[in-house]
Amino acid sequence: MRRRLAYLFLILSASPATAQALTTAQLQQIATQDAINAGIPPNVFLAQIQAESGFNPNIGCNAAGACGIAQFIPATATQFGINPNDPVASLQAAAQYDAQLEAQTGSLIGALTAYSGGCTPASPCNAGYAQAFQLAAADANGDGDGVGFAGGDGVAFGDGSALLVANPGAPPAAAASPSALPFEWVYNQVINGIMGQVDTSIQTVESITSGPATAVLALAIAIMGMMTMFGNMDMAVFLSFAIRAAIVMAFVQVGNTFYSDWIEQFVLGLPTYFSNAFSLTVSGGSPAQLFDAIMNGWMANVLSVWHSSPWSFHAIFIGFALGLTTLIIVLPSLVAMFTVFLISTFLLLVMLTIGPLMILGLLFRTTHRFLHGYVNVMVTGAIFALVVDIVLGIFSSILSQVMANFTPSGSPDIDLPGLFGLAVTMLITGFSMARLPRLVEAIGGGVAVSMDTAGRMMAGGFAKDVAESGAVGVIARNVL
Amino acid sequence: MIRFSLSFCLALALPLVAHADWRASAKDCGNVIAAQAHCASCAAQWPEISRCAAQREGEDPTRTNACIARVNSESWGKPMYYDRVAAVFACLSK
Repeated sequence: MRRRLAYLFLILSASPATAQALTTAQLQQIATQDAINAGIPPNVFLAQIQAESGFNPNIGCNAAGACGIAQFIPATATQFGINPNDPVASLQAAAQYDAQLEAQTGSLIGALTAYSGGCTPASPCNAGYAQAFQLAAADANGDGDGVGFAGGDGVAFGDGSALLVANPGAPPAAAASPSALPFEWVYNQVINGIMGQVDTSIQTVESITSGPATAVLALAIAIMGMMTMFGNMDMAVFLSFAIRAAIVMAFVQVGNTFYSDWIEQFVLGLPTYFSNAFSLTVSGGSPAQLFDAIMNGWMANVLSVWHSSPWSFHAIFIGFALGLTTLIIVLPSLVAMFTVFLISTFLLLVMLTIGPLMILGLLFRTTHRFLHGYVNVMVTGAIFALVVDIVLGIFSSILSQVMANFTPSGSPDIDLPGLFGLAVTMLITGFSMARLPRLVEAIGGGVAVSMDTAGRMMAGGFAKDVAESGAVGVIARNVL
Repeated sequence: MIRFSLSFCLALALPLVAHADWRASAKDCGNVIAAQAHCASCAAQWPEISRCAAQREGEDPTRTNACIARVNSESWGKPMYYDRVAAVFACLSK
């Protein structure tokens, strides 16, 4: 059964809908091209879409009826004959609409005001629109980015060069290859992608939960009310249930900010807090950038030693040893550490998203165990993230110091011990992180004792498997 | 029989109160105001939509204005997709 589910998951993952998911960078590239095609300044258009949706294509519709990346109201979407939740079509229509409004109002600022229905430079609605108005004003004054627009089918730049624009209907060019920064690319895809949708996902779960919760509560109160009136239930029990019901509804009711204020902000603030507290990002970036920096630094050192070796059998042996060390020790260690970090963050975010659903467990005595298990998993997940960040902090400090002091001398025989020392450091750290789940189980103590299946997966199962045998090994074992 | 009817009515009243659907009012108001403003996203109209919906829901105009001012200052750094109308009603419900 588990294999079949995993296979189904793989098929769904490879479906066209998933394949068509676009990253923020790709959407910005599409928007830039759309702006050029429509003859409006790309920087202003980018700022405008940033102000409207933050380039988040999965935001659905708000209470006022504005939908999608360009925040079109239904009338505007109908006017252009598009689905407002289709980001590519929306961006193209928004750029065209801006161009139309610019022609009608006589200025780009007027177009922004008309588009938004009243945001002005004096009252710009939000920080994003304030920036868009500034850029539009700079463009109108000719002191912006030196971009002058010929309109229509071409853009003339200040230095006299010109960018010929492809046909308006042509598809956008592919995004730049992320191969130089693989860890950052994965982090952006997985974590940033989810982070951008956490609010929307929680709202969706709240919407799904709120309806059944209200119906269940209505039924329960009706039954308990009758039982209390007929003397079959103690008033104290009834009141206790009413209080729990009030707490549950406060958390799951759509539009209520209790969950956001008390749970979401607290959990989302933890990684930043840990990073600051334990100097995780010594290299001055995200954890993913740290892994990329270490991998690139290692490769640069290895190549430097290889190139400084005179051509001989000895050099071939050195190259073979370095290649083997890279493949067997360095890359697996980095991937294992990164996977543990990624899974801990990913599961924490997923658990956060389904929180409104699990809070329903508070309602009845028989469902308490669900909420109990959920809280256990959340607490364990938070402890896990904390321990991972501490180890990463130590790891980054040690490796940064070692790599900063390692300078290839030009003699492979002198450099090799240093390089192998570096590899062994990575191996020890990777091994330590593979042991982390058990450590977390120990730290969790009473909390982790009653963990349910999901908890075991997080603290002792999946993450540990991945750390020890690699993601490919886990997939091979569970799927194939 | 009376007790049963009372419990039944109470049970029915709960979902009605819980779903005192300001969202329907907000959507109606959004449609009306957008038609008047001839805008594409109508992002700037959220205070008007909030006032209109709050008025339909019988909220106190002074409190509504206070909540709008509060949401306006709190949401300055957020994109316009952030549901400011919902935030106003969340404020009104406190």
